[in-house]
Amino acid sequence: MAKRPSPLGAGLILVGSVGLLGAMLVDGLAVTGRHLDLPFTGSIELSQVCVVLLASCSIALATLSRGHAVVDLLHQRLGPGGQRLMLRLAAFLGFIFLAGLILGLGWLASDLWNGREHTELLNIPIRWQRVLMIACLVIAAGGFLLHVFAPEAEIETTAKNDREGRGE
Amino acid sequence: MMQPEVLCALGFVAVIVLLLLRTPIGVALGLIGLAGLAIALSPEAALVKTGVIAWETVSKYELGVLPLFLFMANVLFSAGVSSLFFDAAAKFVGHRRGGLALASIAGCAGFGAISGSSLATAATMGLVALPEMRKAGYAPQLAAGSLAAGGTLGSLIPPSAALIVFGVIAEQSIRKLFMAGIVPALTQALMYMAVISIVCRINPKLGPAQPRAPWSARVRALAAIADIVLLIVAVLTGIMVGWFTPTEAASVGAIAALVIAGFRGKLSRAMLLEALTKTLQTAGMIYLVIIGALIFSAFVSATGFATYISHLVDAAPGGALGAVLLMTVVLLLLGTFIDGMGIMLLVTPIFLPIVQSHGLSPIWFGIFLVRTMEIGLIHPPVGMNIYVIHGIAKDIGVMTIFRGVIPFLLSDLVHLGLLIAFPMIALWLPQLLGA
Repeated sequence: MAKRPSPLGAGLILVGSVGLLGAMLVDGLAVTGRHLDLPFTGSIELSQVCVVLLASCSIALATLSRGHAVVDLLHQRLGPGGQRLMLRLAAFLGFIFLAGLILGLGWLASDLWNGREHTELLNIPIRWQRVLMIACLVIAAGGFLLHVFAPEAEIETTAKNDREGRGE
Repeated sequence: MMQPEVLCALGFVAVIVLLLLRTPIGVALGLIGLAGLAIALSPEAALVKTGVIAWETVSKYELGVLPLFLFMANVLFSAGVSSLFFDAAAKFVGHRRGGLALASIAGCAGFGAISGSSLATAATMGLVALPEMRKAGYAPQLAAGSLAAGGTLGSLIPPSAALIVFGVIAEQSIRKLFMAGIVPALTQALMYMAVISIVCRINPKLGPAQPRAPWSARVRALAAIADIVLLIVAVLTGIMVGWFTPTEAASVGAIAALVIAGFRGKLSRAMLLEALTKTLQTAGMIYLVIIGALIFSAFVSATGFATYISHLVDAAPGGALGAVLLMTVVLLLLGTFIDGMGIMLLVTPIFLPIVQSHGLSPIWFGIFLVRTMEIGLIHPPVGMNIYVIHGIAKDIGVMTIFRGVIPFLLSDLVHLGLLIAFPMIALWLPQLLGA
C-alpha cells in the first residue's frame, strides 16, 4: 500500500507478519536442528499455525487494498460510467462469494466445535484457527461491501487509477 | 435436471463472462464453482465443500512456500538488487552487437529467479534496462521486444509462483516442478539470445555495440551479485539434493535475504514493513485465486466433465500427440483474451486427466502449461508484458513493441514444439536427480 494503512489494515499487517516471520523462523530452526541432530519436534504444526495466520490476514489485506487479480480487457473499453458500474458489480460478486465461504466455513466450524480437534504432537487447538480465518473473511467481505457502496468520488478515483495504471 | 456436461460447459462460459466483467479471478472461479456445486449436488453440500476447501488451502503447510519466497524476493528488491544482474551482464556483453539486449535477457533470467513473476520481471527490468538501451541508440522495437519477451522467463525459472500454484492445484511435487523448469528456462533464454544475435547480425543498427568495459569493472559487477547468486544457487541446490523441502528452502532463503540486506546496510524497520506488506498483499491475492480454482475444480469433477472431454479428445485422431496439439491450440486461443494464471486455473482440472490418461507426465504438463502461459504474455491482443513495457515507455507504441516481439514469439513457438517433441527437456533433470 502506497498510502498509510487504516488501523484495521495495520492490524492485519501486524498479525500476518507475525505469521510470516514465525513460519520463517520455525522452518529455519527446524532445518538447522535437523542438520545438527537436534530435531525440532512439532515444527510443522507450529509452521502450519503461522501459515493460517498469514494466509487469513493476507486475504483480508488484499481485499482492503483492492489488490485482487483481475482480467482488465473489457473494462478498458468502457467509458467512466461503465467502469464505475463494473467495479461495483465485481465488488458485489466478491461479497457474495466470500459470504458463501463464511457460511461454509462457519458450518464446518460449528459441526466440529465440540470435537475439540487439535494437532497430534503439540496439541494446538484447531477450532480457534478456524475462528480467526472466519473473522478475516468477514473483514474481507466487509471490504468488498464497502467497495459496492463506496461514494461515487471514491469509485471514480479507483476507476481513474485503473485507467492511469493501465499497462503498468 | 440439466445434463452435468452441459452444466459444466455453461460454468466455463459464465467464468469467462465474469472475468471479462473484471470480477477478481478467484471470485469468478469460486462463485461459479459454488453455484455449480449447489446445482450438481445440493446447496448444503456445496457450502460444506467450499468451507472444507477454503480451510484446507489456508492451513496447507506446503503452500507456505509461496509467501515465504515472495518475502525473500521483496526483501531483495528493497535491498536494491533489481539492477545488479543487468549491470553485470552489460559489463560482459555490452560491447557486442545487441549486447545490452543480451544483457537484458540475462538480467531477466537472474531477476526472474528472485521474483518468480513475469510481470514483475518485465516491469522491473524494463525500468532498469530500457533507458540504458535507448541511451545507447538501440531501436525501440528491439529494446522493448527483448524486455517484454525476457520478462516471461520469470514464470518458468524456479522458484516460480506459477509452478507453485500449479503444484498445489494439480497435487504435484513442487520440488520436481522446480527441477523440471530449469532446463526449459535456460534453453528459452539461450534461444532469445540467439534471436537477438541473428536480428542484430542482419541489421546492426538495431543494437549498436558499446565501448568494452574494463575487467576491473566486470569483476566489481560480478562481486556485487555474488551473494545473491549464491543464495539462489543454495536454495535451488538444497531443494534438488534434498537438504530441505521447498517450504523450508523458502524460509532459509528469506532468512538469508534478510542477512544479505543487513550486510548491504539496507535493513531497516521501514524496509521490513514495506517488504512484509507487499508480501501479504500478493499472497492474499494468490490465496483467493487458489481457493476459487479448487472450488471450481471440485465442480468440474462433480459433473464428470473432465471424463467427457477426455473421451472426446481420445476419439480425435493422433493419440497423445494429437491431444497435446489440440490443448496447445486451445491454450493459445484462450491466451488471446485471458491472462496466464486464469487459463492455468481454468484448464488444469480438464486437461490434467487427459494428459494422465495418455500416460504423459503431469510434471511435464506443468512445464508445458506454464510455457504456453508465457507465450500468452507476449502475443496479441492481451500480451500483458507488452502493456507493461508500454507503460514504462509511453512513447514506444504498442504496435512497435508487438513488432519487436515477433522474432521472440517465433522462437517461443519453436521452443514449445521442442518441449512437446522432447519431453525429456523438462524431465531429464528430475530423473537424473532421482526425484
